[in-house]
Amino acid sequence: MAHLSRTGLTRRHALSLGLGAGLTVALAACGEDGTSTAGGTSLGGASLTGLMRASFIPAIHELQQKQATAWADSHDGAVELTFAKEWREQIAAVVESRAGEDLGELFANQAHIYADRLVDLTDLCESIGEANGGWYDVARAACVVDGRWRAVPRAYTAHVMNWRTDLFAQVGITEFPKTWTGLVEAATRLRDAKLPRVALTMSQAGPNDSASVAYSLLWSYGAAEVEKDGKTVAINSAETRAAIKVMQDLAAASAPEISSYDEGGNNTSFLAGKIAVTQNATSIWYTAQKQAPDVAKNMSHARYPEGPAGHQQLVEMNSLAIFSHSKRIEPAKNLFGHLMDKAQLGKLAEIALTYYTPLLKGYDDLPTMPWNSEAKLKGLKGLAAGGHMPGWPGPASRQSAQAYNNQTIVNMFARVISGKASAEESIRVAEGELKKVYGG
Amino acid sequence: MTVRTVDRVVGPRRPARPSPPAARERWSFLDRETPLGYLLVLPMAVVVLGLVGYPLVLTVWFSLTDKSLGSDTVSFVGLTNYLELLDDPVFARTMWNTFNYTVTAVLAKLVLGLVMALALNEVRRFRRFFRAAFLLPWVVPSSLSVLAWMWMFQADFSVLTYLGRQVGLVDGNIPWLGEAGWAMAAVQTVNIWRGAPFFGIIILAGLATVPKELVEAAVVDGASAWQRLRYVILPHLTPILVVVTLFSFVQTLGDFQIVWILTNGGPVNSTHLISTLAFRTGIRGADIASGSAISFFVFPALAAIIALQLTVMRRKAK
Repeated sequence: MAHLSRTGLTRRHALSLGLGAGLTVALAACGEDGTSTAGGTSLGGASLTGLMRASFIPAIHELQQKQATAWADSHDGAVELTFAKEWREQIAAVVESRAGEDLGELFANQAHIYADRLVDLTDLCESIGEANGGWYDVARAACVVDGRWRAVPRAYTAHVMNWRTDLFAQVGITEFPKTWTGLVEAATRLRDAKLPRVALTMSQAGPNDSASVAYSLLWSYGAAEVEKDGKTVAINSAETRAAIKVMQDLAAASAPEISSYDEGGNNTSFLAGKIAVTQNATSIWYTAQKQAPDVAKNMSHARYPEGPAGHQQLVEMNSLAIFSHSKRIEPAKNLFGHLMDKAQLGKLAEIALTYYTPLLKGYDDLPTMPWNSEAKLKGLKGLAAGGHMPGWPGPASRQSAQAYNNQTIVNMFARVISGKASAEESIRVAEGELKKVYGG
Repeated sequence: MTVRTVDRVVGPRRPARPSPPAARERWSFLDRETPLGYLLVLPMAVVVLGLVGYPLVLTVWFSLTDKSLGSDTVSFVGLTNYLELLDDPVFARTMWNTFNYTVTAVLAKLVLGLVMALALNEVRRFRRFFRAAFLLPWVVPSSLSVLAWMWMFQADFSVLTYLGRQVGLVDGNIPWLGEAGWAMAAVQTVNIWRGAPFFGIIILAGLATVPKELVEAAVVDGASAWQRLRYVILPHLTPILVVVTLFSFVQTLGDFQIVWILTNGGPVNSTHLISTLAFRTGIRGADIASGSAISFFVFPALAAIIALQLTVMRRKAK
């Protein structure tokens, strides 16, 4: 018999109501939002959503959101950008599920990984390049997959040597060393003088900083993880041994904490005056001006030293892509055109202090660019000319991205400087890992 | 026992609304207990199947393919991913790390939890305050508490190193997260700090079930504190200790945040756990097939623990 409640509602009525409500909610959740904008660039009252990289400079987020909102105001809609530290993982979920945000800021080789699910942006990228003096080669390497641009190379984060001019002066050095061996010499002098030491992060906990030094050093000694064909593993070479030897010498004179730093640890130590040199973006200087003015006054920046094969540098690429599941592809393309316009990108580069450095040659000589307007950043002009993506001299690829994420090159150096393995053993381990990835 | 069904509650009688005969028949099964029981369980079953069953099946499928994140082409490769892992030194190291991390941390949590429970059981004043205080590490979101630990392990400014220096134990900086042995000890310490209160509170609840008369009789017989613990209290606590330990094994085996935030699996893969290696390989490295195979390696151990746990609980219930 039906059980009556105080209100006279039977159990079967209550269950029917519950089922009905549940079905309604489920159907509503599965429904379309009805805001597809197949044709023009107007959003028709809808929102474009994007996942973006969170940087150490909050002003970068504010400016990008402001620029996007200004565009949205004239396109009958809104742009909601989410800046997250774990944006790479969130993008992976969006791409794989083919649901969620319309656009995202890709990191390093990700355009190659997700190419199947990214919108072709060839026309847009070529026109941006033509209007701005052309792209640096590394931009094409990062974003062109099988001849089509799958992302707009927005900017790269310039990794540089942040160094204390006052401490170097105390050991008789007035210019940052031009070569890696020169840096070893400077590190030795600082150590012997019992001054704060050189400290280039070489740890798994600081993956981007460490990779920046590891790959750049390796390449500048003429070594590489893979041949030009992108298949033949080439790490077991005399050049690699030479690069490891320099790293060993440098580590012996460096602060022992280099094996412990995460991405922020070296920043903290530098700002506290505990170390004399570290590799990082210029965000340390940005923070120093606010929190440690004495350090800011007595520091400068230099490009990475050269080796026998000249100056080579890993480029930390940030590119913009539209996910193919988006229903607002044309508005998103138009937004990218707006963000890459000189009025917007120039302003971003201006405030970002090389954290966001355009990969367009036409920006090099603009007087407002940080390397032209700020004495402490002067040496950083055209840094992308010697810049490469992981896997160079092979093409940027899914495999090179995997090797980068496995931190194989970083660990090859870290293993040796920790004393856990000889150079030979460490190269052998790295070779095994790389062969597994490249299949060569 | 007689169950009386109340078919009407007190209140003004309303005229019964006649239901159409067809509708009455259609819904009459809701009045029977068995179908109703299944119906009520159905939403939760759907949720569990959707959130646990579906991902599990998907993981198994991925691990048998060459699936990459974002790639539209997928081929079946059989057990290739598993066989490759067996030949991978990083994976071998990770298996050892996971075993070491789990066993050490669970045993330490068990001992500390027991001590904590015995101490709290003796506290008479401010009992609630102490219980709440001890539970804090377990209650605070681990992502937040691990960030605090990150500061305590910071290379140059570690408060732990500072204390060590003050008491003359160490000279320079301790490489908490920069040397393999220290790094493993550091991540285990955080896990123990976070998990011991859970043991403590559960064991404390178990202590309430130990008959006071038995303890008092042991005192009268001249048993020492250790003897009372060994021969009276622990035998009563054993079922609870087994359940909480097995439960903790499952939780610790799947631990992720502590290692990922503090060491990223380093230095040189020396703290990678199954979960962090699977994440790095499958999500960061986009090789979701290998990542799935890695994560599935922990499944037999988890299944064995859960089976044991269920057996113990069933016996306890009997």
